[in-house]
Amino acid sequence: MKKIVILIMAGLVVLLISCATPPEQPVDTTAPLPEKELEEAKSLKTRVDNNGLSEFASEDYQQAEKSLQEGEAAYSKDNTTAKKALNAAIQSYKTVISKAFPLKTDRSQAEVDTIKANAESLKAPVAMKDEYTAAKAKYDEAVAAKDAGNFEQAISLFAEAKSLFQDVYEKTKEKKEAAEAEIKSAQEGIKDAEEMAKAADEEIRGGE
Amino acid sequence: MNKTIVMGLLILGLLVLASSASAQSLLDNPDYNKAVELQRQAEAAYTEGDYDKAKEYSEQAKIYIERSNTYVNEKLLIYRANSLLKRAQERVSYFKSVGVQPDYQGYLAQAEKDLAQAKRSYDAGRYEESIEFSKKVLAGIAVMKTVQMK
Repeated sequence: MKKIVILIMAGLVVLLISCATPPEQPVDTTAPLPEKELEEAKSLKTRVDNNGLSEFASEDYQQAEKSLQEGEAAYSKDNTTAKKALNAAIQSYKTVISKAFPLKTDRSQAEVDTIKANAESLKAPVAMKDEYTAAKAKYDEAVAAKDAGNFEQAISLFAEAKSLFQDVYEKTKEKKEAAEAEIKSAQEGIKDAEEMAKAADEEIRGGE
Repeated sequence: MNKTIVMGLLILGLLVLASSASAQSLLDNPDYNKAVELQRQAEAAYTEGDYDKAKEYSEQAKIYIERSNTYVNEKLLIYRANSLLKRAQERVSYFKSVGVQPDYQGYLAQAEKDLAQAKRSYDAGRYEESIEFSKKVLAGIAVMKTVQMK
């Protein structure tokens, strides 16, 4: 009888312990690792970050980052969930890319337009003809790339054009200032010469 | 009637010529004119945006201004040398014509020597030297005058 009571109590203890923790969720261990999805999501992220696109589609970018983190967290633990999250990340990064590249290209072009206009206001096409022509050719190349939808190439070309126009602007400004100084100096020289000659004329006429 | 008109026009023409001749300035020299023209070209090039050319023209203009200044200074120097030489010649001629006291003959002789030197220097284009000799003549003459007036 004592043995039966002990067995019943032991059984109750086992029952209590087994009820204290919830039953574990069944883990899908049969799904394959979403390696390709992870690789693609990371590659897209790198492309977005390297091109500084996040600021042009910040909500989509945040969504992509969140999905990537979820995908990485579930990776090799729950591959079905990981794959789903990584596909969402891929989609969001692609959205960032499709939205942000045209916007960034427009901004790059606007920056070049400003410095180009500044150079032109100093008459750089005359003052620095060859250098201006080279910068303009690069600019035209960038516009053609943009029109063709090659935004990454366009951004890179606009950056080159900007640098060239900046150089043209600064050198034109230097030349302009140097010319102004020389013209002013010659003008003063002419004025002094006129005053000197006038004084000499008066001395000579006074003696006649 | 026609003769009167022709004469009137002739006189008017002569007056215009005379006034332009007297109004002629030392600035009417090729170097000054060239400098002004170059400066005009510099300003035109600057307006067009050809700053290199503008600078170049103004640099050249400054060279011609210097030449013009040299010309004006030389003309003024010649004028000064010539004026002093004339005055010196007049004073020496005067004292030679009125005569000087025997004690001061030496002064007149020295003045004549200095005058000759002033003339030689002037003819050789050494105007500053000529001016110095003419001044020497006039200083000597000034003493003679005082002596003669006693």
